[in-house]
Amino acid sequence: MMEIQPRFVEDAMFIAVDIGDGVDLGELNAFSQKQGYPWAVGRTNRETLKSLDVTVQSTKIAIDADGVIVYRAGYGKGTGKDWISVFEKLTEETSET
Amino acid sequence: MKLLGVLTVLAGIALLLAAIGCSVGAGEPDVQESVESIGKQEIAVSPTSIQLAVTSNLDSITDVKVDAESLQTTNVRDPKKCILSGGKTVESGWSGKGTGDNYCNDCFCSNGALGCTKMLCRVLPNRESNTSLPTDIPSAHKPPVVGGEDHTNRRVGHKVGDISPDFSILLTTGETLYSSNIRSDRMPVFLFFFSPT
Repeated sequence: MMEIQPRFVEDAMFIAVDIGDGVDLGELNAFSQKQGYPWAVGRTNRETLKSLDVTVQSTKIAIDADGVIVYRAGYGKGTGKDWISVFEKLTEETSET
Repeated sequence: MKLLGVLTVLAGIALLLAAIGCSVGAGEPDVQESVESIGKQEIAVSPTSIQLAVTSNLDSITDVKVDAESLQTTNVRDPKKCILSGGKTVESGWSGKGTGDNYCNDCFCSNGALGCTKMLCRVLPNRESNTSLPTDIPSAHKPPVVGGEDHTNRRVGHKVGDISPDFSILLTTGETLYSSNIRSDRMPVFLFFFSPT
């Protein structure tokens, strides 16, 4: 993902979301810098995790510009090729509008 | 003696005739005078009162006419507009189809007064009520949104093809991403859920 995301940074937002509830934003930011993440990092609440049905880490959800979920994969699912395809689909739709 | 009696009777008759003649002669002039005086009074009063009444009515009619003419003059220079049921304002003289739920009727605007035919318009499927758009084109025939898809039949959920539920993500930069921003900014997102610990 570190190699794929920068290619689409202009047209799609990639966010790594902490699913735990024991880390504050400062710690999360420090972790992100330590790992060298080029993307945004944040956290959310239990309600959001529940409504998006996120129960395990490494869940991936892509939402297009119309707010529609176009891709979803769980832990250990999806490959770099899949993600490129997803990003291309997201950015393709955006550039058409 | 007999002669005296006859004279007395004649004198009585003469007095009686004189009395009757006097009473008849004095009554007639009184009746004529009263009739004449009443008549004179009526003639004297009636023309005055009628003349006053007519004059006042004419004055009021003249006032109304003047007002109407001045209004008409004003409206011709600056005719009033009409507001259609859908909220659109049209000029005086406009004619066309109604708007909103009145879309099937023919309407016209005449100096602020909107007149429409009174047909009952059939409710079309997917028709938006109370639209503020001028709906000369019924909304059922609206062109699709440019660059977008029709998502009206999609449900909110977490599966592929669903409209994502409302959510918010607090970023380490201090900003908050709301799901509504995705649509308003036309910026797709790829969420990767992880655990740093």
